[in-house]
Amino acid sequence: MHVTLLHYLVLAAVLFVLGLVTLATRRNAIGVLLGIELILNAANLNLVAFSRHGIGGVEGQVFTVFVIALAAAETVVALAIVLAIFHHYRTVEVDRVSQMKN
Amino acid sequence: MNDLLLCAPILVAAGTGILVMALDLLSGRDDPRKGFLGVVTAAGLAIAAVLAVTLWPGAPAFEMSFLKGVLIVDGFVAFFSALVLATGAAAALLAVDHLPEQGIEPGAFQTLLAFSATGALAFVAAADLVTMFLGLEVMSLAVYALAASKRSSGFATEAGLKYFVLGGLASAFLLFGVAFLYGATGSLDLAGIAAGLAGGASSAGADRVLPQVALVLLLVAMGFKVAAVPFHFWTPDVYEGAPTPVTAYMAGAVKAAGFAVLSRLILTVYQAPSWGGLPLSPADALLGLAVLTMVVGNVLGVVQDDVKRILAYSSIAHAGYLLLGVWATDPATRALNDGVPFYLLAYVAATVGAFGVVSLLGARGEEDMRLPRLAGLSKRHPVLAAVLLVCVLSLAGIPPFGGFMGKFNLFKAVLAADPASNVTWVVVAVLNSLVALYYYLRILLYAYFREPEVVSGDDVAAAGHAPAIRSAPAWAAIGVAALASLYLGILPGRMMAASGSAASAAVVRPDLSAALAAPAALAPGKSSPAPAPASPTVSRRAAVRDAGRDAARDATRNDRDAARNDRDAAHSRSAAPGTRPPRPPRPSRFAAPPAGGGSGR
Amino acid sequence: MTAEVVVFWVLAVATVAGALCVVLPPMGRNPLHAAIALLATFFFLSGLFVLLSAHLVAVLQVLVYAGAVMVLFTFVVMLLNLRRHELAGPRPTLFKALGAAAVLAVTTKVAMVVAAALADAPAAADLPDGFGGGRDVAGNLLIDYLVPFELTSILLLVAIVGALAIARRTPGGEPDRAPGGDA
Repeated sequence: MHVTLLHYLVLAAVLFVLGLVTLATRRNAIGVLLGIELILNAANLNLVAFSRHGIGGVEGQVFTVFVIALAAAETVVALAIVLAIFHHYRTVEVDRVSQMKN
Repeated sequence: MNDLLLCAPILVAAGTGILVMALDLLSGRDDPRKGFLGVVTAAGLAIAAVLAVTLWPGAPAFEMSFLKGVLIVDGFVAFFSALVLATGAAAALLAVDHLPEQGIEPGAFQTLLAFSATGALAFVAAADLVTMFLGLEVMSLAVYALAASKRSSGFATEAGLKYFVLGGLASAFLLFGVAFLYGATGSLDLAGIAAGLAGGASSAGADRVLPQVALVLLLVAMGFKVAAVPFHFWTPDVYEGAPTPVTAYMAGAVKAAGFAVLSRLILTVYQAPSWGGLPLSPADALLGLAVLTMVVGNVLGVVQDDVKRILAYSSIAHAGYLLLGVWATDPATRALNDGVPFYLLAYVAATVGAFGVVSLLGARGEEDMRLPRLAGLSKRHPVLAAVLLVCVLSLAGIPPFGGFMGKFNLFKAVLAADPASNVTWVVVAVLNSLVALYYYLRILLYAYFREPEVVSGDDVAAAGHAPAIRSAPAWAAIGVAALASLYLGILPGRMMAASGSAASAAVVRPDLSAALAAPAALAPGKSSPAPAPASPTVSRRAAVRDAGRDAARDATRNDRDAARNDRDAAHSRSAAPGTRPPRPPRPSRFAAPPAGGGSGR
Repeated sequence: MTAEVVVFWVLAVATVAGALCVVLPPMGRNPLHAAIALLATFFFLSGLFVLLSAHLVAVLQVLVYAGAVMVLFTFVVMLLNLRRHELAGPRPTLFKALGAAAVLAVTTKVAMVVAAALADAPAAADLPDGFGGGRDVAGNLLIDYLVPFELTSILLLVAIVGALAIARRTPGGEPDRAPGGDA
């Protein structure tokens, strides 16, 4: 019995779904961001797994390094937005933060 | 040297951002003359646009290895880059006097705008998925911040949050899709992926699964970016909440860049007419999205009564027509049909003009733009009303404006692709344009035929007596937009030709690029899409991999100098489709601790 | 059953458990706890990266995520001093449940198709020495992917300027009202 590409792909798919569920069920902005992080990491796992087990070379890992940097940058902007939201509404719940008419 | 010259537009755009940042720091905090930052930004981006148009069409491929693999410059890239940069410049000009009015700091705003345009350039010019992804992120991240940059408004902050969450989700989807493409082909550059998929398309079953899943994920992601239904729901709220110059930039530049990459990616990777032999073909998916987007965009546009929201739904509907254009590839060349770039040009000019008028009308501190606030506009600001008239009629597709020529050409091209079966969809699109007339004319009705209603003292300002901002830069921007709409409608010839040559370069042909990019020595399995062996997926991959690995082992036995040479050669990025380049041995300190010291701490 | 298989399963189960903690109410209800659960997930994930011979990525995963991203998260959560009732977890509705079920079904289906397609994937090939090490990745990163690397620097610049533009408080003028709260 070996650990194959398949194992990793399924694991990444599970993480992806959990990320989506987090996004869908979380009401507060921080939880939503956690969901996005989870999805990005699932994609990272895919990239690294393909780089090891697929026909790709080390490029997959290089891409992952970029994604990690990107996740950090995204987090900075996202948390700044969350702070601004909190200043305005005294809450980070997405539901209660809605002036938008729709 | 030549290569660096070719990079000039990107460097100029990035340099503009850095320059503006520096100027902002050098000038005092509350310097009233900060408006010049916007002019500097606009000038920098305009120079970059001119450089792109002059340098890029017909440019030779990059020679330096680190550029060749990651950037492509050609007529297609030049066209869309210029469009994006011009929109960026217009947004910068619109912002000059809009920002102080709304209490937004100009320094950070203009810096972000310039960087966002830089990211969009990299996004459009990317030859590989890493660059494409990072370009997208630079562009988007800056726009998230721009959308939320109005700190005094909960509205804008909320728009930023909404845009961020959905944009971040879209990026994550894109990344997932990219990972699957990489897994299916072992390559991250467009040409390599295309070649890999073309090789796999002949074989059945397993090879199609990863590309299929990737396709769905990519379409979802790009659907978010270009605001296609059903991934559009963020659009009205974000367009309404964001500062209006940012909205103009989002509706113009971000959408143009999104469409450029959408068409290049889909048409290159999944080549028409075989479309990679997928069960859910990209063609069907694009058509579905297109029809849904047109219909929903127009129907929902009818029931809005805020100008920014109407224009948001209009931009959704236009994405629908454009998707129809991307779907109907040119029958002769199987490239992008030549109506699409022209249509985008006309749409962007008109949209930027319309949002520009709205941004001039925004009163101090608020940008709420309900239809009644337009009442009496033709009396108060006849020129502004005229610009609005030109832009809105162009959006509606009325001759003699650009939008009409755009629609006419696009529909003609769609018909030409397949006269018999495409008639239905063209009819649907034309009917949609008729529905859209309703809300466009409603805007003009208010601007030209309604008198401002005076309800109470408080409402006087809101009902239309608020003065438009006097702003020479903004007037220049909307003036150019309106003139462009006229020019495109009356003398479309030149731009049509440019559009045609841009469209013909849309698809990166794998054979050509691979031949150019792959050093002959490094392409052992130079997999001409050979008919796959009996058990397609696995054996093909295994064979390729084994070849690579054996080569690597052989190389290990060579002495170190030879290996070094090999390695340098390997770094000139083999684009040999679907091949793992022979892995040269690295004098591995990690694996050999006795060599001492080197192991990373 | 080789050691690799055992390690994989331990790490995989731990990763999924961590991710479940992020999602499910008991911990997920509180952003701080959810963030810590996510941190644990990332640690286990970096273990998986080691198993995949991606040593540098594994190190960066720990450094950047644990060292920077999650610290930032916890910092913001604590800075905002969110009270418990503000963190009230998901109010599950039928619509949401249906949505979750649909997502789950589609993904399961896709996973099964992918699984079927790849079921006969061979065991991993031996890798050359140094695969995924600093030298290997850096060679690619700084030579082949120099342009994206430089783009990353612009990305970080954008993040800094953007964060400042959004969150910096102007000396006098920042209105501290909370219109949403009392609207």
